[in-house]
Amino acid sequence: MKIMLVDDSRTIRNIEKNVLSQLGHTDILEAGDGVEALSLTATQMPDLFLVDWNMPNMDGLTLVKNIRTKNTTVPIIMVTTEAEKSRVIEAIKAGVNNYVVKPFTAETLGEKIQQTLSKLGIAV
Amino acid sequence: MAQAAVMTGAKIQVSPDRIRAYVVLRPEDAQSPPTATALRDLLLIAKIKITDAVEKRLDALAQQLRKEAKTSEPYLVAEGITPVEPTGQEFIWDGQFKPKNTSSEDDAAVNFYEQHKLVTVTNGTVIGKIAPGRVGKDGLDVHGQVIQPHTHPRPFKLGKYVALDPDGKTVRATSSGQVVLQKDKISVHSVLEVAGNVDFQTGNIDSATDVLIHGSIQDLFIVRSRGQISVKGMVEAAYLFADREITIVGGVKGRGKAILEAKSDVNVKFVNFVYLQAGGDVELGKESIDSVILCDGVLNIPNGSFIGGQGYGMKGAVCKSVGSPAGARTIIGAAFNPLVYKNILDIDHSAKKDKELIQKIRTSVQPLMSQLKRLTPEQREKATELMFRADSLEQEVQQREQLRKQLAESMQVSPEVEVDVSERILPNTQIHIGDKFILLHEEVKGPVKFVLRSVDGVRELVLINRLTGSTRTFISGRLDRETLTVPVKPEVTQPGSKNPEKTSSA
Repeated sequence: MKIMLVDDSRTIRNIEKNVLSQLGHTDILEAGDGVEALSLTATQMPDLFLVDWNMPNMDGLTLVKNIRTKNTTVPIIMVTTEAEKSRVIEAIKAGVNNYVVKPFTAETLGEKIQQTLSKLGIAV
Repeated sequence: MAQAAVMTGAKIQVSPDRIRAYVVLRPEDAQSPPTATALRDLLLIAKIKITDAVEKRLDALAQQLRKEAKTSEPYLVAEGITPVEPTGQEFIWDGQFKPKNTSSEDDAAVNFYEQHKLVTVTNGTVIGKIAPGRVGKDGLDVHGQVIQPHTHPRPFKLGKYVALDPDGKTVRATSSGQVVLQKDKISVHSVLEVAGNVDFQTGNIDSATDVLIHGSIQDLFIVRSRGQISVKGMVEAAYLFADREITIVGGVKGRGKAILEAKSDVNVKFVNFVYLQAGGDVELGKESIDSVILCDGVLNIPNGSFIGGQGYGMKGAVCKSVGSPAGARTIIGAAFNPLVYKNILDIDHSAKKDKELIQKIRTSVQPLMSQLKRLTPEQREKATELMFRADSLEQEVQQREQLRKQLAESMQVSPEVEVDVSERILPNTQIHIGDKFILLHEEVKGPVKFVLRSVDGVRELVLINRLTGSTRTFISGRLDRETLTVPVKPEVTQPGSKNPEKTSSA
């Protein structure tokens, strides 16, 4: 399974990568913002996105909307510091499948990924 | 000339191989040379087969003789066909065994130590190909008789541990060993034997089998064997690596460069400025001077001295005498390996620092986590990073502690481990058992042994006199990063070698 991590913090991307590798996922794509992520998806569409909200050039919400115009089924998990309920609803409306608020633990992120994939009937 | 037929004016001579026939004029008949008919008759008498070519030559000769008869030179009148001699099959080495080209245009230095003359192979290696020889062909003599080729080369033979592939050409080794190519035979010997010294005649040796050297090993040569290495002569500042035992009948004069590494026992007369590592026991006949010896078995010098340097036997050490009369620092130890112990100390050191850091991180994150809702996005981001940093550090520490546990177990001191000295221990000698050590300031007369005992709940080195049974307890120090002397392994270097070779420990 190909997973794309979109976050402007390399440290956070590394953390996510470690959690994913513990879950057995090693086919990882990385992007530092929404623009980079979109250009990558032009050549290879991942099977799962982990997207941060606040990023330079193109934020996570705009990215999610863009992805949904092309692909309505690919699972997207928003991993963000935005904890307000209204923001969560906004993200869900834009098309995210699940929401992880920072700070998170490895267990929380792992659970959310599994939860999202099993809801969509994708084998983990 | 073998045969001759003579007539007035000329004679016929036939070459010994019967391939050529000549007309030779006699000096007294130079004024009246023979006619073509006379020459033809002469050839018939000599039973020379008269072919068209012979006729032409006769006519030409008769014409020439009429103009000018020379008596000094024989005239070729008939020529047969020389038989084609067959050649034997030829062995052609596989490309990997052909001598390396050391072009003078190559400005890189040439490592002459690497110019191998001895070919060694592993089981299944293609050694080369057998090229077919030339087929012989009959000839014809001047009498019209068939001449058969004289030579009958024997086919190329396959000796022990080689076989032909189904293509009938490719020769493959069926055992590991040294390839021996004789005139018309190839075989593989399961022991690589060097009749003389290991020097520029042989180059470095790298063998999949046991190696037996009848002579000595000269400076800086590398001998590597996946089996055992036996040397009947001496070893200079050379490098020996064996997957099994190393046996040296002479000694090793290492000059601070020599390395002996064996995964099993090492048996040598003496070592002088040598770095020696063995997976089994080390047995020295005479002495060790200023050397480093690390072995997983017993360091055994029952009839000799350990003078200067460091010597450790994981299962114990036995010597006649230990220490330097000149006061050179000498360390002898049991159930101890300074390289392993250094790793343990390094792990302890870094683990202590990392644990302090983990504690510091957790302390700084705790207040943030208790008021999550009030955190700014930046604080949330930072808190995530710090939590994971602490988690990952903790994982690293756990892994290193696991490794430390394994290392410490490898140096566990069993009750029977001892340092046994039958004659004397000179001052300025350190005795190590496990991580405990003492420095002797005065001479100790043998026969004695040092053991590690628990005295009032503290592990101390105890000296036991083997004759009287009397004991003396020493207040022992514990080795730490400051007191530990870590031996330095020499680098394998050869002039002309592009990269110093990195070698693994036994």
